[in-house]
Amino acid sequence: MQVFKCALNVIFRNKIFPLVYIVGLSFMGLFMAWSFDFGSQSSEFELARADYAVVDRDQSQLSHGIIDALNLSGERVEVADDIRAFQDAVAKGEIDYLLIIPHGYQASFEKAVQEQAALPMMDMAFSFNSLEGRFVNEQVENYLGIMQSLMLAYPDASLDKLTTDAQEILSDRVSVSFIESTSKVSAIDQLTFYLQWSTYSLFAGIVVCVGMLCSTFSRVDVRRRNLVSPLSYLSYNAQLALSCLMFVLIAWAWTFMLAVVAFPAAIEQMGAIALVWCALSVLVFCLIPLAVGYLLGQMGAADIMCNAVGNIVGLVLSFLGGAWISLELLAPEIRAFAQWLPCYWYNDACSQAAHFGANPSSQELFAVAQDWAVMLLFTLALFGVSLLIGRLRTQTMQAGGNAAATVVVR
Amino acid sequence: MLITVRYTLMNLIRTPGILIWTLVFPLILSTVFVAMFSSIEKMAGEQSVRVVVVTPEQTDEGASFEAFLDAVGGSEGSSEETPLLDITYVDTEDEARALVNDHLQDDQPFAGYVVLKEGLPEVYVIGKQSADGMGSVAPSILSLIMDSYRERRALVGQLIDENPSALADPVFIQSLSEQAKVTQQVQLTVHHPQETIRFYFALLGMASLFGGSVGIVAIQLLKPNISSLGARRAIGAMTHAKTVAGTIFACWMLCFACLCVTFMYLRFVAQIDFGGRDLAALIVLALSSLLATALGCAISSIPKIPEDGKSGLLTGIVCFASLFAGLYGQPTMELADAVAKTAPVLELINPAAQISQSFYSITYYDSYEPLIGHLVILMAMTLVFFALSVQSLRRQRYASL
Repeated sequence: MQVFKCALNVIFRNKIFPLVYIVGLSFMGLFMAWSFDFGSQSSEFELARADYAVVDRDQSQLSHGIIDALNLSGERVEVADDIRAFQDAVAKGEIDYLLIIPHGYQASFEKAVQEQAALPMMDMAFSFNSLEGRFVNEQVENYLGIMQSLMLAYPDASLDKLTTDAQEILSDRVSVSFIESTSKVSAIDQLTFYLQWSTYSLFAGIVVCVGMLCSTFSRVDVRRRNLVSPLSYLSYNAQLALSCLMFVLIAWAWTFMLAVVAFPAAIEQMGAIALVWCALSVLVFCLIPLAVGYLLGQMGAADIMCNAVGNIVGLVLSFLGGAWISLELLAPEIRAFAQWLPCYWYNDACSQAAHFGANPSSQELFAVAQDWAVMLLFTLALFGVSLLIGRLRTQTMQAGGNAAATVVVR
Repeated sequence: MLITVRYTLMNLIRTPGILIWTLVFPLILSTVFVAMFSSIEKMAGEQSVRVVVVTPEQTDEGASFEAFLDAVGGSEGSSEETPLLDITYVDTEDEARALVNDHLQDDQPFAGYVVLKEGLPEVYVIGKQSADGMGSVAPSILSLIMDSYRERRALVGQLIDENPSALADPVFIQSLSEQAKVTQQVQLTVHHPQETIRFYFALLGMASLFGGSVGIVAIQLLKPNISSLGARRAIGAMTHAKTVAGTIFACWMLCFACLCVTFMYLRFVAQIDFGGRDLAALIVLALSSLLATALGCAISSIPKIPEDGKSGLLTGIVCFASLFAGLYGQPTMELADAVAKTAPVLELINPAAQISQSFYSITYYDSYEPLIGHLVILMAMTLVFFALSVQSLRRQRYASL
């Protein structure tokens, strides 16, 4: 098994690539999956929470009342009263809404209500999302609208009493319920998100390492020496194939076992059949970058080319598979194009397999098997092209093939 | 030396891997970002919440509720340019539920439906649609608006008991029926804040640093013990200093040219606005490409690492640096911001973060001071990397080649 050991040595000498792509990026995928909220929908409706900042230059009872009214809408973030701090807060999305209460606002407000004039304005700014900004702004305007109405209705009442009345009125809530079966998120989706993201790490890692390995063994002089060695061609190729497969299995096992360890809630909800079919979906996908790596090897691609192809193609494929953003949010043309690529079928297989019940029906199993078949077709097509390119390459003059013989004959 | 520059450029351009990392990869990533973010920007710009309302009965309470909805929904006479609610009326609750369920897969689904029962609105909202929270605020806005109706109704009830004469005041009635207009939106930054633009800045940071591969290859071509070309150049007539200077200058030119192409693609095809300060952006790119060249030289000078592994090392460094510049999605952007707040020194030594922050300063700040600070840091890093690579760039003696 000298060829097998030598091949593993080649991979080990370039261990920076599997460490960066397979290990490093898989942890990044974990981190991203943990960052999103895949928790189940709670039965009670809760208001969304937005981050807001209030720069209170007035420090009056009215301004404090505004701040108290906003407590229900989210988390107040402290922002220094400085233009650079304002700019950073909105530009970096630290807050969704910034309100600046000017000095003397309470006095201006009371005067405007008494004189039935237009109410004084406060400056506010949104961050990225207009709706979240409007959500907080709506509460500011609602509170001051209630205060205006109370001041008009009770012109002689103290501001203390009016503020207390306003807060009592604001505590009144309508009945809000969820429409059944409209929630689309569960803990299993966290696992499938990670597996979708893993298309990038698996594709890049396997293509780079297998590509470099096959390129190394495909060098003309190396190949010539191996051909004249006593080792049979079949054994040579079998050992090379075994080393590539071994690497693929290690990458697959690492990625999937990491998911099992990192997402216990999802594993608990999935049955054993779902888990096995999910794992097999990942394994079937891994054969595609294996074929791509072999193709690069047959082309004689240098390590920099393997790195570039693995990284760039992996990135594009994972994006078009819905790993970076849900395909539903992309334009219809992009969604249609994505169906011609293997990651789309992989994501579909993982998603369906992960949501299997305890006893999946034959139709459900067949749907996933169909996705596998499409992925295997991609693998076979790439492998076929690799063999063709390899064959053509052996006929080049450099390889001492027919082209070289033609030159000699002339 | 000009001949050195020319032929080094030609040699580098003809190395396929170089142009892939410095030109093709950033262009592909930019295209992916544009496709990815166009829908997010569209959603971020949405100003209205789609809701279904069961047409109230023709009673006083029903008429009052409809008048309230007309004010919020921006009917004729409303002062709102973009009404907060985009209302669709249906006749029955079953129809409302069916309509909401049928449109769950739309780009902007209905937030829920409202039905008036015994004078009070009851709200039914959709469940969690995505893990990233997109669209989660719409049901809350709907709930909030219905709360304001209930609050006003409660206030009227209170006044009927305590002070019925107030209800005769038309100004008071107007204050109940219209939302108080007490805020005006201002723009605090040179450019309107966009969630996705910082990812383009991080992309430029990554693209700049990948230019280090140019430096790695160019230095390999200089070393006599690495390539036969290097050996021939070592015994050539030109002084080593001029050869090195010419090579580094050629690397810089190539990196800068590739970055300019990426910048122009972002600027004119992807329509990314850098606050109208394109010249400042080009200066940042020039310095970033010099930094990348220096980084490539420094990596190339690391001993005991095989030449093949150096590009892998560069990839690892760039990917790691880009992680803390926030390239890989919103969670990493939040991580980068958190690290910048709690351990600012880590942001200072991260070249990808500094390049990204330079573009951020150009786009959002009204003063050039922060930009100058970032440029000074980039220059310092460049000098450090060149200092580290001095040993590699110096003329070496070999027992044999």
